[in-house]
Amino acid sequence: MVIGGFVVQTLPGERNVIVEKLTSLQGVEVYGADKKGNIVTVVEADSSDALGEVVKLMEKLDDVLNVGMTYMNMEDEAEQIASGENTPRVFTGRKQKQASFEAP
Amino acid sequence: MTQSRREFLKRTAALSAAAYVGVSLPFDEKGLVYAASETVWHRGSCRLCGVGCRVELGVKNGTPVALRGVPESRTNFGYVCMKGMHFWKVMNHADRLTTPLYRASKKDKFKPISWDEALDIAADKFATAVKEHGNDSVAYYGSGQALTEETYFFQKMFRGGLQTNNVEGNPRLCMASAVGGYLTSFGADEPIGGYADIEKADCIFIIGSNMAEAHPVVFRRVMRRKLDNPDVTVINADPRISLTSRIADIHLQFHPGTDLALLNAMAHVIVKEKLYDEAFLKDYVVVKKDKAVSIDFAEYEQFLEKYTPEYAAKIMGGKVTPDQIREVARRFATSKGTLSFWTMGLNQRKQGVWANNLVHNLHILTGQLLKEGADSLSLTGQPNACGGVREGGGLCHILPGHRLVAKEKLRNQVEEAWGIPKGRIPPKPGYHTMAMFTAVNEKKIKAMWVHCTSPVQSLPNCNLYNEGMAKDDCFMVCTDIFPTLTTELAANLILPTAFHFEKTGVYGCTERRSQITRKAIDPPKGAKPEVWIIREWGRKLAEKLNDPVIAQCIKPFEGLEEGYELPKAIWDEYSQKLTKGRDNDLRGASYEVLEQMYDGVQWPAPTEAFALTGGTVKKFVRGMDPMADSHGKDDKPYQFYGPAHPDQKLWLWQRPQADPEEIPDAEYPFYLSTGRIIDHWHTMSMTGRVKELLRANPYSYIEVNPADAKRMGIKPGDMVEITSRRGTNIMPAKVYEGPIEGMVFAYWHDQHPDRMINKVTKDAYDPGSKEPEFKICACRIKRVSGPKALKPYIV
Repeated sequence: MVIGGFVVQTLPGERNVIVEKLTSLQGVEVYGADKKGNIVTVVEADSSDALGEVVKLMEKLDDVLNVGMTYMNMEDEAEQIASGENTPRVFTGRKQKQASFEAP
Repeated sequence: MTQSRREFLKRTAALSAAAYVGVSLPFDEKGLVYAASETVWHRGSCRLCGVGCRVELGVKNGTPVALRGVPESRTNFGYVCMKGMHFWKVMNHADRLTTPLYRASKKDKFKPISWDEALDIAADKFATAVKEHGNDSVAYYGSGQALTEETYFFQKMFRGGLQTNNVEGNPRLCMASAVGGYLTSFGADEPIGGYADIEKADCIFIIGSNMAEAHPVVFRRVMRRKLDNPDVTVINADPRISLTSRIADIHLQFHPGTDLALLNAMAHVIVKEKLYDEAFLKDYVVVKKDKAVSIDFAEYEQFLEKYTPEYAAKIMGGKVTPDQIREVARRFATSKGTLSFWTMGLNQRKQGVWANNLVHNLHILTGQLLKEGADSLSLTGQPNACGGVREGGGLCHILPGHRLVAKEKLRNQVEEAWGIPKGRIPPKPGYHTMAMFTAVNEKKIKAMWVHCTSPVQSLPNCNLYNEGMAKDDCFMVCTDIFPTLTTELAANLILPTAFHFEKTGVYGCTERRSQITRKAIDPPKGAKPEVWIIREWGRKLAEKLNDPVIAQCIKPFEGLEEGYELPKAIWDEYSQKLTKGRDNDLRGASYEVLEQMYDGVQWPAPTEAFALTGGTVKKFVRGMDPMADSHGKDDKPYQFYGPAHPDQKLWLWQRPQADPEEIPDAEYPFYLSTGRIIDHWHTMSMTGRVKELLRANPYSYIEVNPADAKRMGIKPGDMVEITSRRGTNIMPAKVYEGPIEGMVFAYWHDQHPDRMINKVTKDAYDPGSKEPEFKICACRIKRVSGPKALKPYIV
């Protein structure tokens, strides 16, 4: 479980519409908001990848000016990575000790 | 994760966000059932960019698990950008270097060796080079990302120990022109004001900077200022429409390199329309022209005659109109507080110092300085270019405490502080960066230490310098946490180092603010903090060269524990002895004081009591800057006591428009400029290994203006060849209203040989600051194919 805290910024007039759109997204809860258009939002997801996808959806909403992350906890995932259970694979690891580096 | 813990974390996340915007929630931290969390939070600075965000790393059972901002910090107020939020994932990364690696020849494979062997080899090679080829056959090339303790200790060993001023660092490539500008305009390095001026500014002038991507958290404050106060004017001057331009009320788009004319034209309007502050000029300013010859204001007025807005608009091209220039000048002059920001667009230029002077000129002319909301604020690129390199003596011509190598009296002060004989520090500056790597090519440098940076990728016209670095004539030691293009191509010896939060030390950010990061976790087994490495190497050097003075250089640090006591002793020596009485006086900013601060201390801060209040918010102002009071020469409210201006005045500079070194011609008809994007940091050795950041931007693009793209048959995603007199790249095209017509813009982080844009850039440099002109050169582009499936590449 990955949990992130966010301040979603929108124009003051659009707040209610945006709150509805946000809560319709999977894993998104709104905890409060103010007159300036700041919406306190918490997003839960299965993994940090999935969290990123939800944030992208939030950012794409019309009239969302900014999604600012203020807190993130991914202790489950971090513990898995530290114990070797889950190795985030972006590249296939260092294949060779020396890369061949060619000048043109 | 248990249900109750999940609820606890969700409420914590909500409270964190609510705190930043002052929203009350129907629960608070006391009401939460699951009180005792096993996560311990450790305060420190972010590892990246020059903003100086304060963060807390959450550690559970010795493993980093989370990160949050520090809401009380006066830099970021709790906010963090995505790089900051994720950089800690580097700590447990599988690619971390954990053993010294050695190869006698750069054509061999690396073999793991013990630390003792490695330090012995390093000492042996440097000692032999000095004995056989002289002191200047060795060199140090460091980094604006090294801790101040590291830079200070390294330069002490090289200057006092090995007796060479061949001490340089990558801030030569980013901030040297800003240093030159501050010294020649104000008499002292670094900004007069700081970020606090944002919330009081009425006119914000952003030139040669894409703050939105390069300094996102400070940009957030600019955005907030504008959102809360629609009357605030934001002006953006950039040949490229960037993410920063989106909030500008006025965007001036012009051909690269013509901004000197713009700034002079703004001055022309200010002078002609009598918008300058006559009293301020009379009390505090002298006018200078080339070689610091004083002239009178009438001569300067005469010089400005030709820089009419019409003249400038013609030179600048693009869509700039003379009336726009007039409007910008008027707003600049008449606002209640004008704040300018700039970074590499002005610094990485053949006329970088002049460009800096011309921005300072506008503030000096209009008196938009020293008061709330007004400042000329150069944004620093790296987290510790200021604290470590500019202040700690990390360039070939400066000693710690803003002292010039060339001044004997100042060298003697440093020798005395170090307890070494007078005359020990050589009297002349060493090689500046471009000269240093030229010397490597010429086989004059036999042993070089490269710390926490990757010149193979980051030097302009990099192919030329990679030739020399790849040869066995120069023995190279690299200290780093990951393999880089430099370790792979050019190193003989790689020493694995501890990362941020795995060691203790101080970073000094853009606004003269020194902040401490304490060790929170152990480094991976086998990796060592640099301060330990330097000490152990130093001891072996002293033996091999049979030199008691080298031993004296490390004596105060012998026997100290490496995670905290050792860096503390180094910081104490630097702050208490070397900054005493200097304009960056940091005596009040001891570790004890720094650890008490949510953020840090702005110098000058000569006493602990003053440091605990946060230090000097505005330099040179009596009542706000203790040195304005102690070093003032008369009763006036502003005292310009900086070391470079004996007359204690601000200098207004006559600087003409001058072209970049290489501009487009028939053969190479495009301007090429380069820069950063928000997701990646520099050479991406760190950010490229964080999958969230890599996925956002897996490789570099070349931005092509839609009109140019149409003309040349280039569609989005097409592979484009970019060629200059120096080299070639092939990158996918982003067809986008970004760069002005006739200009292309490439992101410089990519390590792939086809997409390393520094093969194409030019190594011309500013004659004063020696900073290269990364931002402007000439190229041609050609569509080579349709889109190709590309893979990110990291060595």
